[in-house]
Amino acid sequence: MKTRGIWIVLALVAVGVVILLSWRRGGPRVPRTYRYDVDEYLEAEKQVPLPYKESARWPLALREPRAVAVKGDGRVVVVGDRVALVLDDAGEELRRIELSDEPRCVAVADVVYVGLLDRIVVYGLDGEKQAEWESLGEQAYLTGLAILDGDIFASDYGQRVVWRFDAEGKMRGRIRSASKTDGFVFPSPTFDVAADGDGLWVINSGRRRVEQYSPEGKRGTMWGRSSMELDGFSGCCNPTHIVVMPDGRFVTTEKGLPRVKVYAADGTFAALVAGSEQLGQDAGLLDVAVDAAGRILVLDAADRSVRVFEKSVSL
Amino acid sequence: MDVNEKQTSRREVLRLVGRVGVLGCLASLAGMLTGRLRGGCIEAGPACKGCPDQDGCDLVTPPTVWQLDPAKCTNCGQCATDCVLAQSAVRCFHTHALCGHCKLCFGYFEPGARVLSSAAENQLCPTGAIQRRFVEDPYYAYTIEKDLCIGCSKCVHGCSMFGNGSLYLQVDHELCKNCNECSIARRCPANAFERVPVSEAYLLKGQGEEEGN
Ligand code: SF4
Ligand code: SF4
Ligand code: SF4
Repeated sequence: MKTRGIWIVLALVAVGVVILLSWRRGGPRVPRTYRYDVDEYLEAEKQVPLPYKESARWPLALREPRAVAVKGDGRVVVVGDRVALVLDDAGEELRRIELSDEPRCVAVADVVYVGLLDRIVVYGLDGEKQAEWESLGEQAYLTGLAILDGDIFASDYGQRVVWRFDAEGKMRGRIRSASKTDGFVFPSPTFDVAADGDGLWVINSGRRRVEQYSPEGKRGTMWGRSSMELDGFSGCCNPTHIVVMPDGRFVTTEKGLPRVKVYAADGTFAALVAGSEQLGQDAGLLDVAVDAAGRILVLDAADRSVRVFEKSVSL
Repeated sequence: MDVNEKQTSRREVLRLVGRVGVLGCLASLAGMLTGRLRGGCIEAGPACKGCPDQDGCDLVTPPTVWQLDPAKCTNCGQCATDCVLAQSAVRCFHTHALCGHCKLCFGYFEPGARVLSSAAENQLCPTGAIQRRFVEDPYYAYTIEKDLCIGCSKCVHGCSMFGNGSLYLQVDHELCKNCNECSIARRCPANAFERVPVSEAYLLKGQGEEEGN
């Protein structure tokens, strides 16, 4: 009887210790004033209708996918590690092209232009290397490529310029910051470029806007505003990537609060394609491409996949 | 088996256990002494002054110190609350070489701050430990007043989420007591704490570039 009593006391003490320890494991309550709080913005995102839905996800056999581009016939090129993958329009791998160095950006027309840190290398879609253009110098840090009327434009974060080359790799000019007081600002390597019939669209991420340039480098219209609200761009340096849709609208991606959004041709906010809930808080940099059918292909580096978003309701 | 035989064998077993116990204690005591008696010293004291074996002596300098891996930290805020010191030994460090010198710094301003001024209501640091200085339009420099920092990680969270991650937490050896069992490490949900050799006392971001506050 006595032994039984001792056992009961011991058991009660053990339970008490376990409760005490697990309570301490959670640590003392961290005061609310120490919390970095963006809940309000995450909550607002959840209230917004999503006119696009994810229709497919193509896993990539890459450790660090970097950039994505689409050819007019639907073939997709993804670069990362030291390879360029050519995929069909369903994400099946058609070809794997070995690269001499780590790729940073990519554009595709009849050939594939791969931007390495300081130069562009040209490959046929059959995997044959066709040319390697000259280095742009030690300061070069290429972050985006676009093709306009056969010329190749390369944004260079390291030197804060957009280089213009002809198809043979001959330099035809450069687009510099348009103004000393209102020019390019890039706190981080988020300097992308896209092209359409209206010219070039260059991200000026430190000013949270998109600027239009003629191929000769004359600045035209601008759009985008700095805001945590859904229609603006938040953080120190957003948007991070941009592409023009076949109908002239834009798709942009953002870091911080990861977002993929559509803007009308005049720069007014049109739709949220995917937000933090769909992309995850740690999505990192998201490159984006749009195919001829209007499907939005988001390169999710954290997930190592291409995520395909298609319109489910008309905008 | 008769009862006497049973009792004898139980006594022998107990005796055996006792002997093993005593031997075990003696062995560990001997081990401890040989470990501590390196160079004939038992503890650090005035005699250490001028001793040629001082460098690397376990009694004088603990061989390892606590650091946290900034890449693992999830900014839970417990570094501010869990240290044995009233004001945590974990402080905010800033690698200026990684900083974008943003006008709109998400490590400095509350998310959604309407006016980019240094007014207290716009600053996110609960103790006002971050100093903002204009460099040239549109660039600003940020420095941490270490004495004011409580290691709450709020600025670190904003900077790593929206910026370049140049702000990060680290254990400051000028303050840390180097507890055998760090009370923050014990409860860190990211298992970010580790012991590092004294010779490489700081895990800093962008090592070799620039560090400090
Ligand atoms: S306890 Fe761990 S996760 Fe939390 S702030 Fe400190 S290092 Fe970061
Ligand atoms: S926000 Fe917290 S961690 Fe950052 S400087 Fe202020 S007290 Fe230190
Ligand atoms: S070792 Fe002790 S003093 Fe140092 S950070 Fe941990 S709890 Fe604080």
